[in-house]
Amino acid sequence: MPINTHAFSNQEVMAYLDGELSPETAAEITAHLAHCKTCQEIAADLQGVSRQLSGWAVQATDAAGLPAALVAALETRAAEKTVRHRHVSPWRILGNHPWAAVAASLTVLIAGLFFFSSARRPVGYELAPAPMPIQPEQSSVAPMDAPRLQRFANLQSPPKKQETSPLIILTAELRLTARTFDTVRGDLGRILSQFGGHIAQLDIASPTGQARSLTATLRIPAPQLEAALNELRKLGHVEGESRRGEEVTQQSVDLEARLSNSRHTEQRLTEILAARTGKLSDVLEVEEKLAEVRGQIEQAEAEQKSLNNRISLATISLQVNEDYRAPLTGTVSPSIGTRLSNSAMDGLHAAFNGIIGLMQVILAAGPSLLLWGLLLGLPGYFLWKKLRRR
Amino acid sequence: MTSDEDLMLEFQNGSRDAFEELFARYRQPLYRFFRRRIANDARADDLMQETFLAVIRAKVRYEPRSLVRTYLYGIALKQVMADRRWQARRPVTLLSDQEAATPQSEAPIWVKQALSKLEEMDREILMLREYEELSYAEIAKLLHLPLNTVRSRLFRARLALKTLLAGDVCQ
Repeated sequence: MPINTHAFSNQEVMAYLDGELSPETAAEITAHLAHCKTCQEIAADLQGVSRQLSGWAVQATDAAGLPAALVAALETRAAEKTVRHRHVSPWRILGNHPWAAVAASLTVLIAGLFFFSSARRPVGYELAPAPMPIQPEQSSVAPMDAPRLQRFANLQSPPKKQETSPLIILTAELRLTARTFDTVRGDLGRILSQFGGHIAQLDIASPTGQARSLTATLRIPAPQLEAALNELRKLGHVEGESRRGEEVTQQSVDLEARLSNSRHTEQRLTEILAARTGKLSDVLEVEEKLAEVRGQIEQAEAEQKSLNNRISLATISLQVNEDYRAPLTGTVSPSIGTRLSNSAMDGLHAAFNGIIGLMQVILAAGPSLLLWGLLLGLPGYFLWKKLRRR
Repeated sequence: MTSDEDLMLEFQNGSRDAFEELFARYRQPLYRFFRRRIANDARADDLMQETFLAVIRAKVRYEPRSLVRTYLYGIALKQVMADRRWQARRPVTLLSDQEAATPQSEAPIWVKQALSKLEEMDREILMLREYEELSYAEIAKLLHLPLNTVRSRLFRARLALKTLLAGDVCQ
């Protein structure tokens, strides 16, 4: 292919042939191509490649109408939608009954006033958004009418809730300061039993002379998360709160696709094994591969179960610190009289202690001094007396 | 004629006829898409159906921000990737895909051979342009590439293919 050194690059010529340029630029290239042999060669080469590629035609699939798997899936969807439509929207009820709308508005207004006037609102956190609703699991599966479509049934039958709404793993963090730390553990147990949750991890630290703290990881059914958080907030003063939702819809779809593929392989291997009449080594090889594929299926199913568990149970990281107040160490300054009296008492104590101390010294050193006095004093005395007589 | 996007929105609102119309429009293009990338005829048909199953399952999540055509080929590409990963992990069986493959008498062998020698991303860009007739922007969106990269890679692929095809013809 010739190298183009013109105002238009080779890629621009290609884009022109592909209809990717603006009408103005296309018109300029059209005019340029009319007299530029180099660009004509480039265009001819590119068109030649496209022509050769177009020789690879694929025969159309001969099946007609919607395949049974799609019909079944559509009917399943329609059934789910019918079930959902049975729930009449409250807005529709209010629209049909204006007096009900007025009554509802008044009720909301009064409740709001009551709430804001009487409720003790914790400070230091923002109201968290409501969690994404997870639709209840569907149990109705439309019948599949051909064995070949079994894997589509396999794709359909695991948690139906994953198909109709985004799959969200909900997590929340809550930091509290509690004045009545002693009751926190008991309250925590009560809240968990109330919402059907459980403790995944719990640590309580009670250092001497410092605030106690409780750190726990709680698992709560996802639909109950908001209510459980409301109860937990009552355990103390909210110091911090955060919420997170990780969407795993794509991960779930990929997992389902992996499962579908593995089940397809398993089915195919089983068919081969049933029909095969060849060498024993071949049969053994198929059995070995079948066991391997089943292992992959089990692994994928375990992953799917784990994912579903994380979706159905929200995780709350809770930290409760005791509202610790250190004991007062200072005293009130005493009066002048007290201070003088204290000083006098201190003086007497000092004098008394001095006498005691002197007596202790005398008693401790007296015998030694007496002994050395006699030993050295008597000869000295006689010597002094003799010298005086002379 | 109702646009694909309108049909998709009607399907979101529960119209089965809209889905059937979409299926009628894209059944053959998607089947050809898979058939050129998957050796097994039955598997290609399965993947085409699974693509539409994914559309049914995810219909509430569809947002009319992109063309339905791009949306469908996006799902189809993921299906192909998943199938290739599965094929790569899959042990050699007594009846491999090559044995099970439907003979593609309609496919010129030199074209397939030349395409197979291209770098995978270049080949995908070229095939999406030549066979699926997607625009550069649609290809860029599908493959998460900058538009200029798509253009330069497409040109490179065509250049390489021309050389490869010329070599085969000469031999």
